[in-house]
Amino acid sequence: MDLLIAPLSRAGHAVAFAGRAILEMFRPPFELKETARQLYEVGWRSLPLIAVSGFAVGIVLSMHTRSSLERFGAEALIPAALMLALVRETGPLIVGLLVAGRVGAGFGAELGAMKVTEQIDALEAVAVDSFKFLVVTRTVACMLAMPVLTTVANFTGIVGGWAAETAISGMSFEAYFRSAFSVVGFADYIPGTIKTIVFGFIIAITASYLGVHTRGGTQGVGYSATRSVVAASILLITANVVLVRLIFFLFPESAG
Amino acid sequence: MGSPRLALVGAFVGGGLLLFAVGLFMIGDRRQLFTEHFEVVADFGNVTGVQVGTDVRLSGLPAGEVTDIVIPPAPGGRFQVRMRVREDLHSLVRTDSVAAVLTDGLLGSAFIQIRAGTQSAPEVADGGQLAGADAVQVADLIEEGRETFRLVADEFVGLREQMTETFSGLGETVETTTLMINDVGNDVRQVTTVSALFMDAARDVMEDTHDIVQRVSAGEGTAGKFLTDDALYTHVTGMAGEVEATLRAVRGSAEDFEQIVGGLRGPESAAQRLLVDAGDVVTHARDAMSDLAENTEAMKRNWLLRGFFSERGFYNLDEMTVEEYRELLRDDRYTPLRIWLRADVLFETGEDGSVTLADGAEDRIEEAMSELLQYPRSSPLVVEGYATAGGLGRQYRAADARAAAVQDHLVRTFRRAAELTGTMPIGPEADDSPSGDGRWDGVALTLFADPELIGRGPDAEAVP
Amino acid sequence: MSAGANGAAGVRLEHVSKAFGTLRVLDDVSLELPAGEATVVLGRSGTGKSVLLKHIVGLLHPDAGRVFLGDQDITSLDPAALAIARRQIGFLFQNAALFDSITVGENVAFPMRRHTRLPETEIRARVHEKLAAVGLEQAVARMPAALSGGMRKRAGLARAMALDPAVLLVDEPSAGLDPITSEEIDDLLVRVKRDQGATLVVVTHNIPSARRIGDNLLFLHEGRVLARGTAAELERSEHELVRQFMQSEAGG
Repeated sequence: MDLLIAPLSRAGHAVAFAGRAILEMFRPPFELKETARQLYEVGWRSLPLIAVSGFAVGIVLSMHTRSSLERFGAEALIPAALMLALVRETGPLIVGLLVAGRVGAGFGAELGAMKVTEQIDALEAVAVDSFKFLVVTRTVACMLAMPVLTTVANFTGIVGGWAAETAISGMSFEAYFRSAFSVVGFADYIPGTIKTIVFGFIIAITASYLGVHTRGGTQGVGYSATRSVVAASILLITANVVLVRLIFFLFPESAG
Repeated sequence: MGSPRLALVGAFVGGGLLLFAVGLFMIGDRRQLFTEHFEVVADFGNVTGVQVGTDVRLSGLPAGEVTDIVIPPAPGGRFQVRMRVREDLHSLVRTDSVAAVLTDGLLGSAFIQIRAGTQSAPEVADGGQLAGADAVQVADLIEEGRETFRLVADEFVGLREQMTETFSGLGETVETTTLMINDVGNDVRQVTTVSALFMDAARDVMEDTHDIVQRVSAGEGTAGKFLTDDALYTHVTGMAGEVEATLRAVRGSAEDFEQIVGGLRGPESAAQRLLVDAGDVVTHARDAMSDLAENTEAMKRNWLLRGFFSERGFYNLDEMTVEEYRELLRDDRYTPLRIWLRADVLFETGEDGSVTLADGAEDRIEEAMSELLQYPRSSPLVVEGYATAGGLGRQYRAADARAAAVQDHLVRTFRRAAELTGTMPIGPEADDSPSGDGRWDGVALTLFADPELIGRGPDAEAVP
Repeated sequence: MSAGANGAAGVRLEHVSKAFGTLRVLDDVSLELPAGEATVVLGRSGTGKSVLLKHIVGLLHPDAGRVFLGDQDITSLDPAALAIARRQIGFLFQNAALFDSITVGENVAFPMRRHTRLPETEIRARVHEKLAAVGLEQAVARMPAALSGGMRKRAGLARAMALDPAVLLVDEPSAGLDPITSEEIDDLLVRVKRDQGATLVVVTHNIPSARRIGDNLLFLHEGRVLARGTAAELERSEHELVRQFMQSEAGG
């Protein structure tokens, strides 16, 4: 019985943790400075990783779509196919997983270290709401950074796709860019980007929860970091299934 | 938290929003959300691939998108498609503009093409109705044409009966003018025969046209392009008109005949003249019919039978007229080697007009090929089809079928490369045929060999 | 409350009990920590000394009983009121618990920025003053990770003193330090108490340290106060365990 209750109660605890984060997001005081600092860490400093990854993924996608579409003589659709793949799924998911790796590990380790060195207690002792100060700021920063990073990845992805394409067909960037947007609709573009806000929430909450509940000293910190990445990635990928279904329900056009 | 870092955070969020907005704008721009627009409505029986947001083009130019599709209340009704069209194109959309559902390439998505209207028609009002044409409708249209052809045939049958009746009556009652009747009878009989040929030709054209329509609506060839090509559209509609004009002329001649019969005792010369006129009318009708036959054949060549040579660049048989082909034969860059084969030994014609190779045909073809195979296999070979029986249309179709049957046999049995083995249905005329009368019934295998190789004769490169 | 209370406040525990699972850490503890005095809480490892401190600052909530800061029952406060009450308390953690993502100076400035509306120049002046008091004015721009254990502890003390608290709670001041550095920290604490007039509560099992700092000594054993008094009184305690403990110079 305990075997069943322990994981369930932990899950319930985590859900309560997430719920508290949502509530606290809208309750003053807002730790704006700390949020900005986290946004710098999560967003700005992830830019090189995201931009390069987007570019590389763009090249690879372009090569794959070319080899499939060439068979049907539909090379003209390469930019559009690439853009659709990027905007709908590849961009959000790749950015989600990269951020889960980089930021999830960072949060897990940082908060874990703060926990075991009593820095979280120290915050409380100087009369700071550590949940608001540590968890809510990170969550908000992640939720803001994800759509921006996804947009960046989408665009560097197009540039990468164009680079691969122009090497073969010498297509101009403007023509490629226009062609890329020729079949993408708002129903592909907006929900695909908006859902990464949910990804950001999942990553930040998972890593924060595991970080704040770190036990066992320095070793526990490493463990928390690893677990954060794994748990955040799995939650993100499974949540994506639900989100895609939900998007199809809310925006039937995007299912086409 | 230094202020430079704060600035970077601002740049990050601001830049991200800007980039996102660029994306939004690109999509919005394509969908013409930021330009003025007006609305038009068109009804379609079939809206395959059309959904809200589907592109609307005006003569190929991006013009807007579908905003709504209203489902018909009952089966058999037509789908009402609402479209938003750029205001700056309003002057081109007239009340006689036609909207059609087309597909962008083989894998492309559906879009709605609006054909610009004519100068004389007024601009369509905002929210106004356009005629909606889909592939099925084109078929309907040609079906109507076919109906007209059937009418022609019926009229001819009626005409013939009338004339036969008249002349048999004439033969019984008027004995004193036997000589004249003989003369008149000969002319009338000639007219009757020619009319029968005309009717035959008309039926052939009708069948050819129907054939085209069926293939187009089945998606063969460049589907949908049929409708967008105005010339072809005019051809098809014009064909019906031509037949009707012919019909009127034939009717006129029938009335003339009645007058002749009625006023047989009148001046001899007048009766004779009328008969000559009647003969002219029928001749004209026959000419018109042969024009139609050629038009139909041209359509088939242009749209449906693109094939073997078109991509290889040697020469393009499909876009080549018989005249151009004859010029090619005279071109001294090639030496055509010809072997004539007669139809009666090669073919069996089924009751439905289908052409198959007869029993002894394969041996005969092999014999012929053994001569030609001495030359490099890379030399192009053209199977010329000839046929003498029937009207022009029937001749063309028989010639085509014969050439195709032999070509098929060559490709399969002799492993001839399909792209180097073409067909050319020519018809009855064959200037240099062995028959000596300038006509041929059968096929000719023509190898376009390099003159140098022929000069040297069969060599090591030859493949037995 | 702006820059913190000058003048001490006493701390009083009434029948406080706390258990973690089946382990009873505090068992009906009642005690009075007089204002302006230095009380040293002694005891073997794991006897609930740190738990006692965390109850005073409200980081832990007792299962039963009440904790008074001055006249205020902090166990009955909502989070907002508790946050205000906490501003009267400075807490020096065992490993200093400096925020390692910001500089030493920012660490000291942190409570001021959070709880006062002092202008930036004033904050800087106070940070300098607090760091000078612990001899770390040179380290203002350094990151905590670059400091030695003793320096970290002094920086932690500067931060704990940032708002001039009425009560200063110190968890194991000598932990991880060599005897000489440890002695320096003790001297600092005594000086702080004298200069600021703060109530000082120190948890330790280092007897020399306890002797140097403590006006009063408390011996905690199995969740209860076993003995209390001056160092001399505890050396003559009726409890064998206390006498033994007081004689072991190095501590347990």
